[in-house]
Amino acid sequence: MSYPRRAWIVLWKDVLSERRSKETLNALFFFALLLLFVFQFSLGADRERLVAALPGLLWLGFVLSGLLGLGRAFLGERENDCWEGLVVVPGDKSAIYLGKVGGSLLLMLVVEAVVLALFGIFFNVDLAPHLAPLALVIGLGTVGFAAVGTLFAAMTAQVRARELLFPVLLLPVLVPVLLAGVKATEAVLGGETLGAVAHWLRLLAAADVIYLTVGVLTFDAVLEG
Amino acid sequence: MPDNWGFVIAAYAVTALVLGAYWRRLTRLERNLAARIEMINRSRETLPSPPKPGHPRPKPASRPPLP
Amino acid sequence: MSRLIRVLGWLAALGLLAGLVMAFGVTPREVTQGNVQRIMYVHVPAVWVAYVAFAVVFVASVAHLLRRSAGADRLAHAAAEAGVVFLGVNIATGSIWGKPTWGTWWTWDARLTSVSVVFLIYVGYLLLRRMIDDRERAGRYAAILGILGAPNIYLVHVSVYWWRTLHQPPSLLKAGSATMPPVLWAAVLLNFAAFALLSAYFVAKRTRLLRWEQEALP
Repeated sequence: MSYPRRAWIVLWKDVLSERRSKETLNALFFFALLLLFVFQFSLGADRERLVAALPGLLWLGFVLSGLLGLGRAFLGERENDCWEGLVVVPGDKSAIYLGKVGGSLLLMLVVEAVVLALFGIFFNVDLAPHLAPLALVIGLGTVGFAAVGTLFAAMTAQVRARELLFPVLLLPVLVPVLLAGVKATEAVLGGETLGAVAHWLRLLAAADVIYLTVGVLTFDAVLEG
Repeated sequence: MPDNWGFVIAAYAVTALVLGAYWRRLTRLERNLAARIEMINRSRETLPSPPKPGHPRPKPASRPPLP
Repeated sequence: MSRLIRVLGWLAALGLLAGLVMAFGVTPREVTQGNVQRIMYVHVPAVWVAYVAFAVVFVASVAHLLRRSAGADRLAHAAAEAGVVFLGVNIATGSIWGKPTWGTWWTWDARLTSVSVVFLIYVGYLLLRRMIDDRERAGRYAAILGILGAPNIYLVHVSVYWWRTLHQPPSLLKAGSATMPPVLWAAVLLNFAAFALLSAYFVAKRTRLLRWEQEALP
C-alpha cells in the first residue's frame, strides 16, 4: 500500500468516525459559544476595549478549542485498544502522522470558522472585507498548531497526567505561531495588505515546515511501543 | 545614578544560591546512590548459596516401576 | 572518570573565584548605569552557557534517536537540567537588574520574554521525562522534544523580537553592545569560561549518576 494512500486512509477514518458521532465537533462548537460569553463577561461592556483586543481573543479562542480538540486526537485509538494496531503497521509510520495531522487540521479549521463567525455576530465586527487574507493567516497558523499538536498528543496519549502535560508542553512551543498569528491578524483587520505582514507569514511558513519535518522524521519513534 | 549595591549583591547571591542548591542536590544524590549500591553489593556477598533440597530424593531409576 | 570530574569541579571553583575578582576588583565602575551594571557578569554568561547546553541536548537527542544510545540519552537529560538551572539564573538576575534600571521587577522586553519561553519549553522537557514511567519510552519522547526545542529557540527569539520592536521603541537595555570597553568584555568572557567549566562539571556528574541509577540499580 502506497504512502499517500496509507495517510489518506487514516485521515478518512478520522473524518468518517467524527462525521458519524459528531461528538468532538458538537462539544467544540458549544465550547466556542461559551468562550464568547466568558470573553464578554471578563472584558466588560467597553466595546472599544473588546474590539482592540479582538485579534488576541480570536487566537485565544483558537488555542483553547485546539487544546481540547487536539488532546483527543488519539483518544479513539487509546480507548478502543487500537494503539498496538498502530504500532504494528508495516512500513513508514509517518504516513499515520500525516493522516492524523490532516484530520486535526480539518477539525480545527471547521471550529475556527465557527469561532470567527460567532465573533463577527456577537461582537458586531465586520470581518467580510478581510476574509481572504484572514483565511491565509489563520490557515498557516493552524497547520503549525496541528503539526506540533498531533505529535505531542501522540506522545502524551499514554502518560498518566496527559491532560496536564499536553498543554504544558504545547503552549511554550507554540508561542511563535501565536505571536505571528495575533500580530498578522491585527494588521489584516486594521486594513493592511498581506505585503505588510509578509515577515509574519514567512515565520509561520517556516514554523510549519520545521514542525512537519520533525514530526515526519520522528513519528516512528513515537509509535515504537 | 545611584549605585544600587543592594541589587548587585542580591543578583550574585541568587546566582550562588541556585548554583549551590543544584550542586548540593547532585552531591546528595551521589551519596544516596553510592550507599544503595554499596548495600546491594554487600548483600550479594553475604547471601548464602541457594538452599539445596531438604532431604535427598531417590534417583528416578531407583524407584520401582509402577504396576 | 571520577578524578576527571573532581578536577573539573576544582577548575570551575577556581574560575568562579577569578571571575568574581574580575567582576568586582578589576573592572571599573560603568559610566551610564553605575555599579549595578556588574550584574551583567553573571547574567550574560549564564544564558550563553544555557544555550550551549540546549545545543548539546539537540545533538544528543539526534544521536539517541539514530543509534538508541543510552549514553546519549543520559547526556541529553543532564544537559537539559544544567541548561534549565543556568537559564533560571539568567532570568532571576535579569529581573533583579531590571528593578533599579527600569523601575520594575518584570518587563515584557524581547530578551527577557524569549528566554522565559525557552525556559518553559525545557522545563516541559524535564517534566515529560519525569512523568513517563517507562524509562526507554521517556528517553525516546524526550529526544523528540529535544530535537524540536532547538529550532524553536530561534523561532521564539525572532517572533518575540519582532513583536516588541516593530511599532515600538527598542528595549532600553543593550547589554552586549559592541561599544563596550574591552576590560568589561574580558570580565564577561572570563565568567563565561568559569560557568562553562561549572556546567561541564554538573553535566559530567549528572550523567554518571544517571548511569549508576540505570545500570547498578534494578
